[in-house]
Amino acid sequence: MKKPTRVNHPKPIKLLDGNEPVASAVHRSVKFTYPTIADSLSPEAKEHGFDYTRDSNPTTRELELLAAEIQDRDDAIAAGTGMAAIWLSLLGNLTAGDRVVIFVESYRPNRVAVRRFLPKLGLSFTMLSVHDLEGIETAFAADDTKLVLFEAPTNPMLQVPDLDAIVKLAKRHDVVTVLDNTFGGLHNHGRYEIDYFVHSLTKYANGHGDAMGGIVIGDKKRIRAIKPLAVNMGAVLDPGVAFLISRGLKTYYLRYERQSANALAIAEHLAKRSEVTRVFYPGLASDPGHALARKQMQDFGGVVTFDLDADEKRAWAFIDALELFTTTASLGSTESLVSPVKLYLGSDLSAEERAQAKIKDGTVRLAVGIEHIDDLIADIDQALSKTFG
Amino acid sequence: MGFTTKQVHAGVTPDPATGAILTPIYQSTTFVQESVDQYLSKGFSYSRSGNPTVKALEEKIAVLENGVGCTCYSTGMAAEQVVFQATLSAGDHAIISDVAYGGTYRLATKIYARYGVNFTFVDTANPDAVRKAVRDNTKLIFTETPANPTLKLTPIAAISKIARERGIVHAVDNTFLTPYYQRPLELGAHVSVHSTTKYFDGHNATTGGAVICDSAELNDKMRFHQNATGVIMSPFVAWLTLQGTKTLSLRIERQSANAQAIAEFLEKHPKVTQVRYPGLKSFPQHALAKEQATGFGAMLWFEVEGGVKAGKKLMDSVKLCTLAENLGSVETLITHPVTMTHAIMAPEERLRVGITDGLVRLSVGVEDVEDLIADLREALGKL
Repeated sequence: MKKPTRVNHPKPIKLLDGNEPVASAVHRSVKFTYPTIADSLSPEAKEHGFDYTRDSNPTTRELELLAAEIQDRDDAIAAGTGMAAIWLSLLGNLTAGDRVVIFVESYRPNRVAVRRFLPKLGLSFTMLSVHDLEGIETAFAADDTKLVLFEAPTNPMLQVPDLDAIVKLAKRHDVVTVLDNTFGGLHNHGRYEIDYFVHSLTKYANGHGDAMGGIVIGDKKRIRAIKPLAVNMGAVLDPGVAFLISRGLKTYYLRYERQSANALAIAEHLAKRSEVTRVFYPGLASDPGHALARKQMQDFGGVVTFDLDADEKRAWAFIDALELFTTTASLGSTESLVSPVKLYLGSDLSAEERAQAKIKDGTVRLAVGIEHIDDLIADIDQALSKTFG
Repeated sequence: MGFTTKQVHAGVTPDPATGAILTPIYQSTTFVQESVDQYLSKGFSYSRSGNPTVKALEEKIAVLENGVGCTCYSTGMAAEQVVFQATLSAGDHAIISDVAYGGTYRLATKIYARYGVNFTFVDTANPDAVRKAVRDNTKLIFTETPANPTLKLTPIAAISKIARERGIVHAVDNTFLTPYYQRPLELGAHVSVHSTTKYFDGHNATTGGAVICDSAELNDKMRFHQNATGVIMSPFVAWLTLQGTKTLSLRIERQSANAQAIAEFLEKHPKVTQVRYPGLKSFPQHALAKEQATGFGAMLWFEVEGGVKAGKKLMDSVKLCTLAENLGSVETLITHPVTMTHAIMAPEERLRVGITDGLVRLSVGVEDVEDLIADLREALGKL
């Protein structure tokens, strides 16, 4: 072989049988080949083989199967972002004329997808409160209702839906259940008979604020049903990013546990402060969702939302006064973050809808990291003193 | 500020141009200078001499070790090599712990010995032995505590005191405990050395090293050799290590708790003849372990009944514990030092310092401890 040819065809390094890397390799290759065309068409190749990274890639596949296992399912499709995964779960299950049930307490982009964009494709929606079980039953009973998109707990107001009740009603009326389980995390809610779990892997799964990704998890049959659309949509997760997320998952339990402990301590502290009128955290014994959350979840995550006794301007001043909590969207990473809820997560809602969603001018969302709890509480206290002092 | 806060925030400031919360990966080889007169006014010229991403990691590690400065390298051995270069010249003498990582032994006996540096391998657990070994031309005392693989401890403060009396640099390889549990500079050492490949990265995803100094003068010397010999860490590795370091305390806390439980399990197992873990009451230097560190780490070793043959069978039988070199990462790794990490040492030298042929080294990971114990119980049951 002449050298100009060789540079395009280097001799690959084949690992000896049993000589395995401890951290998995990153397969950057776009294309995968077989010795013969017949080999590429074998049943085994069709089931477990790789052709083109938009269809499937070994590094991404490893992450898909790992995440599925943690969520107590056996298959999954990874996507480039959490919203790409949400769209995959919607488009993969809907047809023009169908109705979707969404909740006023939802994550804003989920609500925007259903309220603003689905109607352009000839779909309709019903928006309710996640606590309105009677309304949910009526909506599920409607002939055109096909799918419900919900969260547990909800972002940003941490409302806890009754999973048993919603799943039971959905089964009764043949409605597909899609749970955005980003807040609950991969290790929670797996025992409920939910059809699809969606996660923004950007959050707790990766946990280091350095990669974006999403995933749809379900049983094999459900996932197979939407796989052709996924391949066609092409919103795939890059293998390099899949590697980073798999790295992140190695400390997933340690981080989620520490973030939950920090969040509970902060929620308890906030509940004692006179400047705070209400704290939303399912782990807090006084939270209305506490009993349900304890039944449904092992631990309660790192997000704490609370109402300051303040107008929007003063709430912003409090947020600006925080030093360790960085003002930005996102959550679930090692660093603590803070968001003004009305501005970042409620701008699509009318005043009436905001009231229904419990969002006030002084509502603040904390995404608690893994820092030392004393430092986090000291930061909150100094910002409260500065703003209210 | 608490260690767990510093491990997340130290060295990292939002990027002024974009507000990015993470330090960007400055992959650029070279940095534009505004004018000849302003050469280096922004601190960077060429990534072999210094790089903004590497600098962020260096600042973070310096804060965590409570040092004046830190320099990062492509591997732990590159870091150690720079410590030797910065402190030793032909005709000088150095004292090294008689139990040390095989790579340290090799660097001294196979490379620096050729350039006219004399070494004495001393039981650094014994300050009197160190005092006796010091010569007029001794320039470096290099200790490792806990030592790899026997876990023998060196009393850092006592050895630093001897070093400081005689104007000798005391460098401590702090890889096994990390600054979360042990900070040699606070105990009097001049230099702390790390293979960042281990706990700092923690995910088996990079190789790297770090040298932390207690003075700007010493740090400048390391910096000079980092540049001159071209052994600086790459920006991408620095970035991955920055990210790994953020969970350092969570990982090593869990790993140490797992190690304690495993050590206690092994101590009671009839097939196990000996277990060494600094957290066990039976550990000969248990009191020193509690005195100079706030945790016991995740390294332990044991011997099984039936010697080498049984030890090898055990290592071949475990399923969850992976047979691999390296340590400190999230996965539990099992190693046979005599054939792997310490093969370079002469057999009689190994035996003299307690590295027996049947010694099995375990680097405990963050897995569920019940799974790990079940794996070991099953493998021990096959003996």
